[in-house]
Amino acid sequence: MTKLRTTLGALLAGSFLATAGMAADGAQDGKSVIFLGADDICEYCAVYNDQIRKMAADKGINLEVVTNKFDAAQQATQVDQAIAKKPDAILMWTIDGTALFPAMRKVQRAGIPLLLIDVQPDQAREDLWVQYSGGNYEERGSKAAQLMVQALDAKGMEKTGGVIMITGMVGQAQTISMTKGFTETLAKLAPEMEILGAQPGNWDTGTSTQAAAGLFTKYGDQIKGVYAAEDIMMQGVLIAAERAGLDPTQMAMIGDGCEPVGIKNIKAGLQYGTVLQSPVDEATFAVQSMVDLFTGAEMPKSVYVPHPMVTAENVDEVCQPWPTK
Amino acid sequence: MSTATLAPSSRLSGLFAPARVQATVIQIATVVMFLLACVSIDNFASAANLSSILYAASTVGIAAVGLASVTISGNLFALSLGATAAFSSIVFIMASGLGVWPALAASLLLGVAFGALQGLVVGWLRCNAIISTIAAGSLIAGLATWVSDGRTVLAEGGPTWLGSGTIVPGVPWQAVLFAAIVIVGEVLMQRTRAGWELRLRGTNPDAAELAGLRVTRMVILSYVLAGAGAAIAGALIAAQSGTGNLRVGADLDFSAIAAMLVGGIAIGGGRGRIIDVASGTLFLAVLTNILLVNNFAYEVQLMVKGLAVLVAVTAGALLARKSR
Amino acid sequence: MTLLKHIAENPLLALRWLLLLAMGTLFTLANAYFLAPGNLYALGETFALLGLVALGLALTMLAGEFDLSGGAMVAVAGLIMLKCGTESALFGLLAALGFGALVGLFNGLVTLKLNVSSLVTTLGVMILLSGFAVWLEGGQAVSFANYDLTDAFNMDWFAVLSPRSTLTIALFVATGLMLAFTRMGRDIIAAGSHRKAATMAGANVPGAIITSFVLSGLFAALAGALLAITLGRASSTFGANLLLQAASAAILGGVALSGGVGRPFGVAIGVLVLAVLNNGLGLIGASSPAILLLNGAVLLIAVLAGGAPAAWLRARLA
Repeated sequence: MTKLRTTLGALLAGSFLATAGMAADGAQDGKSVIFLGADDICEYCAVYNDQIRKMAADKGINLEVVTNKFDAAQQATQVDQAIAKKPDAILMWTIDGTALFPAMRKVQRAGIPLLLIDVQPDQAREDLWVQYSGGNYEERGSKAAQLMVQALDAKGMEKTGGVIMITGMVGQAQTISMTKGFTETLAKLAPEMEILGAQPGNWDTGTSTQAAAGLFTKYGDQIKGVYAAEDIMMQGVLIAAERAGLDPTQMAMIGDGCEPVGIKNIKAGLQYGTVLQSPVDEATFAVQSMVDLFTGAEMPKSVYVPHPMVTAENVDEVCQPWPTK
Repeated sequence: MSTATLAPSSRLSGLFAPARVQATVIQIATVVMFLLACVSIDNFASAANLSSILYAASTVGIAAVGLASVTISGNLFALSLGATAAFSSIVFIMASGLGVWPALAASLLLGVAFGALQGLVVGWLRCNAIISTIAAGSLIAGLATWVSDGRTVLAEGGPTWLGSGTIVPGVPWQAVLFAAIVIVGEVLMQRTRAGWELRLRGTNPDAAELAGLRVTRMVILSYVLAGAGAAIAGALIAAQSGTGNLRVGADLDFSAIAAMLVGGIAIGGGRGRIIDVASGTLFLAVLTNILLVNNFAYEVQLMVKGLAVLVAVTAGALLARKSR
Repeated sequence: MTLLKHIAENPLLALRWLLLLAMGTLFTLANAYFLAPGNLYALGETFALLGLVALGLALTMLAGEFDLSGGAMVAVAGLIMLKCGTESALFGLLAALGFGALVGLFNGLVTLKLNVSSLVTTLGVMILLSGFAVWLEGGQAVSFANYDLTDAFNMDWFAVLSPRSTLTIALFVATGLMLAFTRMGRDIIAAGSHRKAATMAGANVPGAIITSFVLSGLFAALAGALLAITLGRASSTFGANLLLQAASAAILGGVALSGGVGRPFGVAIGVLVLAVLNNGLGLIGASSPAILLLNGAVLLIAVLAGGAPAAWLRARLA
């Protein structure tokens, strides 16, 4: 009991200090926000959902998490539903960059402020939302290309030869953006390198193993580097390379996401690098976005979480292990 | 139409009898396609590529063998295989610290338990087979999500013999396991009383019941086999990658169904052999590999696979009519 | 007593209503917004998409067949709608519907001529169509800039009805009337119940089978085209979850896998059960495992009503 009282005391003192600091601070307390997010079947989403629940509760925001099965049609009906509940704001992880525009127009007409995270739709329509916070898929692809060039330099290899890509699910906006970022940047930095082949890995290790194995059989020695759009897919590439008798340390293996399996492979020297996008960072930004909205702070249209390039040198400081539930 | 009525006149005419012609054609097509690929595609016959075909075939094939017992016994198919494989991959990795065999046993136990429950609902409580397994798939996926919190579980320690070991270069242990399961399944289905009852249940459920066969027990057995097959498939996928998560087995259900049907298992039950499942699986695995090795676009791969299913079944039906 | 008897005779029908009522009550108690017009509108949108695919599938099941290609058709039809509809939306819609009917015709002909289970041939068509969708998409985000049309499809009538849900309800009614009062309807049911007897009795069995597949292709294509207009976007990933849901809804709605049994009204209730369940779970913000577990549980309860426990009940009450 004493302990509880002390904690409460500390909290009260804290909030008092904060209130003294800025007049409108604490305005988010008790506000209701509906978060339209993605299903726990993707690990990143599961961590994100856990984190944003915790962080929003700490700020006193009444956050309701509604998930969909990576289904834009389902999310569009969830927007209708959310509007019916008249929340103070809607926070949306648009499962598809374009398909939710009509739904966003409805939100706008209903006069509910809309905050977006993770997938940034076409900025030409940014009048529809207050702020986007989160990652930049195209930049992630671009960073991966920079890492690949850096890896070739570090390994003392020439910037010629072939590259293969293992992409996300065909048709998804994320896949299209990441591929665009990677190919464009690689063409700029290493114009003599050629993308020999690309196959979808469907964000799955097993599928990626098979896809990479086929490409290794066909192109074998011509391959200087592999870009897999997620570390868990790079794990599949590494398995395929081992089976094909190829030495991954002699290639530029670049993943994405700073995922647990990626950290393991970078430390083992099998994977050269990855690009950080942390679910904790993204959730922190999203909560800040909500607080700014309710406290009336100035809000730029787009806020991006950092996407530092990660190699064995900085993996320990940059890639924090994902919190468990 | 049942295999029991095969003309004993000659072995060759048996192979092309109406009931067997699709299976035989697929077996020949697989061999021809394989040989053509060997001579025309560089590195196709390399140990690395052969093992990659066999890895892909082993996981889908083992699930398809289990599934075939459900189909042959007359219950169309089960749609809970993917979810079972996902849960099994998580259990396998969680238990992998105890060693490969205990982990495999834990996965198997999970598959058998889920299979038995579905068998009870379909066989004993006489419920609709499709919806029961869709419901089971949803429940199993829910439990797996709850147990794993949506997280990927990583194996401690390095690769194991089951995950990456080969018996000779080009033939992984997983393929040996697949072959063993096919042989055991073939013997069980063709040479034992249980197998005979299972096939008869598929040919004519009412007659089987009237004849006093152990129909309920056979249906339960078929789902136990399906659950076990899916669980082993999940464990093998997990062993390969050292990871287990909810995405494992995402397209296992329809891959296994396609492999089985291409091989010549009749969807209506009663007709087809376990060995046909193996040839159907290998046919699709070799085809997929050829498409991948030639770096064909994903859409082309899908369209060719769809066409292969259509052509195999069409050819089977037309040839069966001709030779009748 | 008559009510009890009625329930005993058709336990699945009673259970569907009971499930619907129970879920409606529970969700209303859990969240007052369940009955808010906006939420009912959302429910109608879910009903429209799933309902059309389930209705088409149910028609093929009635005729003793099974069309697995409906989910993939939704993706393809959406892409055709937007790709061909850039100049004239009507042309895009007609192209999508025409394609749906053509694939349905193909499914029907293959099934008839080859005498193979349509479960097998439509599986091939399903895989083929998903590849075709990816090809149509060509690695680009296919979208629709005609927001006037999109807005028109996103408007509401009496606060709860959308053009899509209204059209879907109308098609359910029309299909029900067709089955009950036209020769073709009776032929479809006859083809599914006793195909040989029906042929001997002079029913047009081939026509019935082809009609059911063409309608199934048409309905799925319509669902896909309307979805594309409503979202202003088409993608090869759309419709991925629809096939299993549509099969569940149809069987839940009392359509027998063996053919010849079932009514569009029942299918509508089956679709509503699933739509209400997922709408309600979304409304109360259920967690991912809870959504999966409850979906499984509801299907399991429904399926038990069709099996031995229901037969036991029927025997006790008869």
